[in-house]
Amino acid sequence: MRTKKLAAKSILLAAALIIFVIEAQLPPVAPIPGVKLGLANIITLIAFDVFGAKDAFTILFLRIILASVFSGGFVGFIYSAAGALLCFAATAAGFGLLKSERIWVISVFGAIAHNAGQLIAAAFIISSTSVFLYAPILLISAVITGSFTGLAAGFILKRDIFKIL
Amino acid sequence: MKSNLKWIIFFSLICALCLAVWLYRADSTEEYSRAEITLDGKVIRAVDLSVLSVPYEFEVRTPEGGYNKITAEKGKIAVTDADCPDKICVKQGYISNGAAPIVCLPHRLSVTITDSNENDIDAVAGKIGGEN
Repeated sequence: MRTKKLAAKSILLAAALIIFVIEAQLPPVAPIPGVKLGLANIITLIAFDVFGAKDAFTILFLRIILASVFSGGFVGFIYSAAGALLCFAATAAGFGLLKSERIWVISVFGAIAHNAGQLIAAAFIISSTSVFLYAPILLISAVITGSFTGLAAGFILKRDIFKIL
Repeated sequence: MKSNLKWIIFFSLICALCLAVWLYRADSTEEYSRAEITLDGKVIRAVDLSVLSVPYEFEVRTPEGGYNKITAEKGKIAVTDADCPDKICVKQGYISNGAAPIVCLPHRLSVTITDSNENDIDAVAGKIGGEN
């Protein structure tokens, strides 16, 4: 049984990596730093619901490392990691406080945390607080993209494909 | 579905609030004309956008050789070329108020428009373009 679970987690990791790398190749949705669809978070949300926080963290962490290896370099890694860590904390809190049906809400809070983490990282990178002026726009973007990815994760989870585990 | 509705209303209010803040900032900083170019946290250049009669272009170079070309015109400023990987700074286009900066993350560059509250504007660009 453990092998089945390991295989499933590995597939999730591979899926998250592929989604992330492909999304990075798409032209930016808006010419504002930090606005992105964040589709790879769909996988993180699924991992949270099916396997729990610890495994979700492992999958997320490995995905970020591998993604930086494949595309992004070291600066990309810092930037990604900052956003993802805050996102993970918010998502974990969300799953603790809300029911699974509100996964889209959890996803929005995760997206908000993700953008907040990236803003903080950006402020350090450029040694300036001017980036925080983007906060209102990024907040709106987080609500929209977070809802979308949360809904997508919800639809996938409804299909119950992991009940074989 | 009532629980969903509660959250939908909540997030809609947040979005409305953000939009209001954004529009207010755009409007209340419309008169600002001092553009500051910041590299690694230090203001390396300031341009008075209100005295420009013709476009004023200049380059900014990072210690590692990265480059951004900045074009300032009357009332607005933009990064018009750069050799950074994603060129988001270029795609952003012109800013004409203090609501948002132009940022080039790989080059640690930030272009902001603020209040003219200091007298140290070192690039009196009007003179270069020809005085009005």
